Parts: sequence; C-alpha cells; structure tokens
Amino acid sequence: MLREMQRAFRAGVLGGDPAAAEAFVVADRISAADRVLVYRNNAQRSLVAVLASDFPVTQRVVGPDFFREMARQFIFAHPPTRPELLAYGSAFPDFIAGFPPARGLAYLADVARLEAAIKQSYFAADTDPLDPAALADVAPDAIGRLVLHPHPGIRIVASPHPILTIHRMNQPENRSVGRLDPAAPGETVLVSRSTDGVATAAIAAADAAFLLASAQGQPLADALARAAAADPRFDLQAFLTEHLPRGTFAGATVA
Amino acid sequence: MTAIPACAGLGLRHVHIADFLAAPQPVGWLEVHSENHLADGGPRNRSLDMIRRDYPLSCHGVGLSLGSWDGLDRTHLRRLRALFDWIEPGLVSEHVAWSVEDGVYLNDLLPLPYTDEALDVVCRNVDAAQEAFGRRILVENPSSYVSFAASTMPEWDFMAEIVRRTGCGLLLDVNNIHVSAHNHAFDAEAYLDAVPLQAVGEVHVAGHTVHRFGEAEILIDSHNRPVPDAVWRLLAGALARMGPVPVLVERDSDFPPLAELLAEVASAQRLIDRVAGVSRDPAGAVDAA
Repeated sequence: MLREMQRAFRAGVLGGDPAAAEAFVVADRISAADRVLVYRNNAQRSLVAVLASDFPVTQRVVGPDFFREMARQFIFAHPPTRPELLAYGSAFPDFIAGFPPARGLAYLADVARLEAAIKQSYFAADTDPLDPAALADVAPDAIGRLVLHPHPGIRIVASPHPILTIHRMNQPENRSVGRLDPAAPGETVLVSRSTDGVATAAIAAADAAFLLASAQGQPLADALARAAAADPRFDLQAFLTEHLPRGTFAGATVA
Repeated sequence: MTAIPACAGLGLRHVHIADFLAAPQPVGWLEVHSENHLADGGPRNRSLDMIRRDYPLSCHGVGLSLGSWDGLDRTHLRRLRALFDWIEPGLVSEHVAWSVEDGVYLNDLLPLPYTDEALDVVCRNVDAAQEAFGRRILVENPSSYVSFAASTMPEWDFMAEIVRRTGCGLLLDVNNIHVSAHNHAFDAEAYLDAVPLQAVGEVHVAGHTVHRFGEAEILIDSHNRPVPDAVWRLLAGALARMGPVPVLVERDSDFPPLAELLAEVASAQRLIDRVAGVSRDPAGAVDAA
C-alpha cells in the first residue's frame, strides 16, 4: 500500500492529479481534497521560493506573478531529482527559452543562464589559484603543450544581448531601472569565484575563446589559435597579466 | 566531535551567518540543515568551517526520506557521510516522513500511514542510515495534515517501535506534537506520556500558522513566527518529565534580526534551568533529585 500511496501523493503534490492521493486520506470536517492541497501548496510554494531566490533578476524582470507561473510550469516539467537542491534550476534557463509566454523577452533565458552560472560558481570547489612562479619553471620547448586549468568556479556566459548590463541594472539596490538601448551590443560574461564570493565581468570574445579551450583541456598552442580566430589582436601576455593575479586559473600541466 | 550540551541552541540559517562571524553570540550550540552544505566548496561552507570551531554543531537532515518504500538514495548517504566526516557533528537527525518517490524529490516532509508495512520500511531505512553513517541517529516525530484510513496504530506507538527495533534516538519536536494533536484531535500531554522519553536526545521548538477551512482549521508547521505559548508550555511539560536535554529554537522563514531569536533561545534556557535537578533513570521513569 505504501508504494501506491507514495505514487499517488507524488502525482498529487507535483503532478496534475491531486485526486489520486485523496483516496488514502481520512476526511472529517475538512475534506480529503483540502488536506492533500496543504501538501501540494507547501511543496510547490517552497520550490518556487528556491527558484525565486536563485533567479532574483529573472524574477524582477518579469514580475512575481509571471515568475511564479513560469516556475510552477518548470517544476512540473523538471521536478527536483536531488534532495540538496543546490543545483536545482540548472535546466530553468533552457525551459525559459522554450516558454511561449516569455517569447517577447529574447534576453530572458540568457539572463537566467547568467544567474545559474553565478549559483554554480558559488558552490564550486575551493582551490588555490595557480602560482605564476610555477610557469617560470616550464621549459621553453614545452610551453605550447602547457594546459592551463581554470578555477572550478569559472563560468562563461555569452549572449547576443547585454545580459551583464541588465543584471547590474536589476540589483536590489537599484530601486528603478533605466531604459536599455535595444540596439546595445551583446556581452560575454566571466563569472569567477574568490574566497569571499562570486564576481562578474564583461570579457572580450577572444578571452572567452581562450578560457573555453583551456577548460576543455586544450594545450596553450591550440587555445591561442582559438583565441586568435575570434580576434587576431588577442594578446596572450596581456591576458595572463590580467588573469593570473585574479585567480582565474587553478593549475597547469604539460600535455 | 563536540557533544551537544543539554542547553538551548539555535538553528543556524544563512541570513544570520554574518552575525556569528562578526562576534560571539550567547547560544550553547547550533544546528544546520545537512542538505544546505552538500556543496563542493564555496563561501557558505567556509563560514561553517569557522563557526564549527566555536560552537558544537548538530546536523539535521531534511532529504533522506526515511519513509520511502524503495529505500534510501546511496549517493545521498555517501555525501552525508562525507559531510559528517568533515563537520564531526555532535548529533545527526532526520525525520519520520518521506520526500522522495522514484527518484523525484518533493521538497516537503510527507506523512506516513502508521502500519506494520510502513514500520518495516522506516526501520530498514534507519538501520541503513545508521550503518552508512557509522553512528546512531535521532529521528523526529512529524507534523501532519492528513491521517490515513490504513493506519493501525497511534503515532506514539509507531515512534516507540522505531526506537525499540533500531536503537536510534528520538528528536522530540514539541511544536510538531502540538500541531498534530490539534490536526488529529489527540492529547499532546498524553503523547509525551506514551513515547520513550529516555531515548530523547534533542527537542525542537518552533512556530506555526493557522489555516482556516470554513469552521475548521489546520495548524501548519511553517517555522515562520515566534514560538507560541502553547508550545512553550508543552516544552515545560516535556522537560519536567525528562530533565535537561538539548533544546533547539527553529526558524526557517520570515527571519527577524538575530537578537529576537536569541531572546527565544534564552527563554528555552530558562525552562531547562528550571528542571536542572531532574534526571531520567535508565528505565525511563523520572525522579526529582
């Protein structure tokens, strides 16, 4: 009976069939339907709250009512599969991209992608940054085979829309949001993690190409070629001077 | 590992972490939700690593789903074990409830029918958890909003039998007793007389809300307001029977400033101090010293 009851409650709580669970429940002055509804409301409300807390800018852009309904639809389509919920919502941006009522907001899914990346970065593993002195020991003929490993908290989100500008305009301290130029260029955002928290910065497409190639384990020579393909003016020395002290990389190996 | 002392503690939530990092706070121990710290790394766990040096910590699980008919999630057990190996909590606890069905996590503590079948399932799962963790756990009595036509025993017998069969301890949530006593029309004091109080390793107090359905009402275990008088009275009754045990003040939403929660912690401590001379003998009877 336990198996049937739990199946029925699951359908009643996060599915479309509240009636199935009612058959197991004693009705008195309060109907079985109302009693099961308490659980349905609790579970759905708590999961909407998890998404609202992880996607605050997305919520602010569309407003709480629109967000609640979009989140509820997502919860039905993608119920959590892990009890820790720290990665719940990773599939929310793709869901938003395919959510017909949000079609008018072309940038919304990418803004949500940025928020998902910020959350993943926040909970990523801790590790010491790469010590630039370690690179000095690499033999000159091995440099092309050097693989730089980005910090586990590094994420890159590229968009044809100005997602970082939108994200910053919609922080809680900004009580009103200015008008955004619809013709503003897209932005590529580097999400990074220090000991204190998560930082975001706009980066050039070539920098992103270099980082993505490195994250895939490609050696320096190949990562450099990828960056140069994005922008022939890519300057490796300047890039490393900026990113090594920032802790963008956590290690280096020779392939 | 630092043992949890028989004094008042507080459920540590993210909003108050900065207060604990900034200055010592007048509370004997803290409890965290295990699932909130199952991360690979990051600032939240770094903060906890600092806080655990200054306060005894208890790990309270909300997602193990001890009542699931299809057993426990091995990955979750392994990750919890790794968390406990790191934090070395003084107590580990979970709920007599279920929240996972066929791999889907419902993010709520759902109720069980009190049947022999459910008892077998819970005991099997408690055994598996205690084996995986290499330690005894406490199991918390639930709050619930439904009763099942299939139930064949009262909740207190169900709880007592889990303790008897598995050797686990009890986390006595007196707010849950109050809520369920109202929702299912039983006597909360009689519940206290019926459960094996000698197995209680920890007590929870919290606030709840009232939901009206026409003339009738259901109490909801919402943890979003101060501990009400009725729950303080039930705590006093429980402590009078048991003597001093660790008592935790829980708040999970609509957070006030930390000072307001610490005032509730102080209230709990006064009730514990009042029974300082009372002790439980091993058979479970209570003697005033």
